[in-house]
Amino acid sequence: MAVIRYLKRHDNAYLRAGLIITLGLLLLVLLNRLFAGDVNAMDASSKNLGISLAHPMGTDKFGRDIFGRVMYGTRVSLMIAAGTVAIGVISGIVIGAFAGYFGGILDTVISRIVDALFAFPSILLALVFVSLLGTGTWQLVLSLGIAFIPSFARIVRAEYLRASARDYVASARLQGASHLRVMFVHILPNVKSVLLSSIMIGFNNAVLAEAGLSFLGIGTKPPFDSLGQMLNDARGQILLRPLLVLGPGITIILLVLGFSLIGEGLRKEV
Amino acid sequence: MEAVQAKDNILTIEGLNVFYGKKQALFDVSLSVEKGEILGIAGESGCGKSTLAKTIVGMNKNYSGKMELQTLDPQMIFQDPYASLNPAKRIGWQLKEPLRLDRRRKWSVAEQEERIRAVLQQVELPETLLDRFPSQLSGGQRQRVAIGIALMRSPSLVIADEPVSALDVTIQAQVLKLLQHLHDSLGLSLLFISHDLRVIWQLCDRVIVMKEGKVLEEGTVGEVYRHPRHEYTKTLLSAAGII
Repeated sequence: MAVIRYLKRHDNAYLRAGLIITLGLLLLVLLNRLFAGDVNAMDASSKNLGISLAHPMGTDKFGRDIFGRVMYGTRVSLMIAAGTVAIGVISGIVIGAFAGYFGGILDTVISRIVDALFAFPSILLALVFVSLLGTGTWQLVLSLGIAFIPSFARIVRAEYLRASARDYVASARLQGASHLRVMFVHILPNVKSVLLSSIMIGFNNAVLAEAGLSFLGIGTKPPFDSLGQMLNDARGQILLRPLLVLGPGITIILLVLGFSLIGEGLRKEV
Repeated sequence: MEAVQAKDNILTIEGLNVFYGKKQALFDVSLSVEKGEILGIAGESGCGKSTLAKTIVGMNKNYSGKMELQTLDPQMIFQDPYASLNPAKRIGWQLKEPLRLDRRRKWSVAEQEERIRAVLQQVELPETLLDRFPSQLSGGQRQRVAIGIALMRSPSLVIADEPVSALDVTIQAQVLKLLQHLHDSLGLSLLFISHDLRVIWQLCDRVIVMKEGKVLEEGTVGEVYRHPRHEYTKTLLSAAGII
């Protein structure tokens, strides 16, 4: 209800479209989670079925409902993306805040390291960490999370650099607030809005990076099949059973589109 | 009317040199603020007035010379009330912060509420403002809130760094009247920094004229304004339209 009231008050088409797409998708995932049975249950009697009411996207070669598996994959992808962004944002906030707030040598050292990491595409960086940590779901989350730290740290640093010169920071220090209190109680709420839209963009990149890594076969392991993993599985049947590819593919597009629109909408709100 | 009765100083500075990195910003500054007095510091921008203020409240530690404060908790009012209030926090929260951070005593919630009500009354603001954000306030209201924050812990010395320069002329007069009133009713010692000699004339007992980090002239406002000894003071006075 709160969302609907928000939409009525705000004339922001980006935010509205993004919320509709994302919330619609999340609703489907939730309904599927609540009412569908085991999406991994194989059924030899219903192999390779076409589109029907019982199977909106047909079934695969093991007789599993593709729609159900897409919904399950969306859940896995979202959870991995959420974990990735959480690691990236929390570490990014801490690193960026210290660099931007204290400045000086600390800032120079942190900034140069971040710049150096930034020179590599984050998916390449994640690949390096995957090869260090091994494959698996939590290793993937950790690898992607680490790879995402530089971009968040950079944004947070710039915001803290700007904020720390403001008089309200001097005022808080004068009242006797510790540096940590100033950083995370006084300044952080002012960084929130900028951070929120970059979290949305980060979410996108995380979904895409995870799909990419899983497609390459170094992502999630069964039975935690993410959308990228499903694409990887369907490689051999692209022409035979296009729904096996289109289902997860379109879902990835919708996920990314929804988050992009929300991110863009939030940016315009600021 | 002499506001100077008690002869003990709340602030004594002798031979103060302040540095920014390798650059020196203040040269051999000496001054004193007596208890319950309003001391004006005049000078054009860049003359070191703000540096002096920051050094006194301890925001700049890179100095040499003698500085004696009779109070542990000097407070400061900043120039721009659009920058000195936290945009993301409600007024009530910002007023409470000095109490939460008070090292000398713990304030219970009821005491905090009571103190806030008292201070709001002193700075003549309605309690309805407590739930608002700074962006929902006018410039004059913001500066009153900033003054309120400075007053929360009942300081005996307040340093006001150009507190009215960012405000409209009509609002300026109101805020000056408020400062005068607070000084009279609370016995505050004020160090009032301004480039505007008219404002200093209105408010201050004594005045110090500064230029390029040095003290040029010092005396009661009447003395300095009637018989300026220094050329630069005359320039400032004529620029303000006083002589």
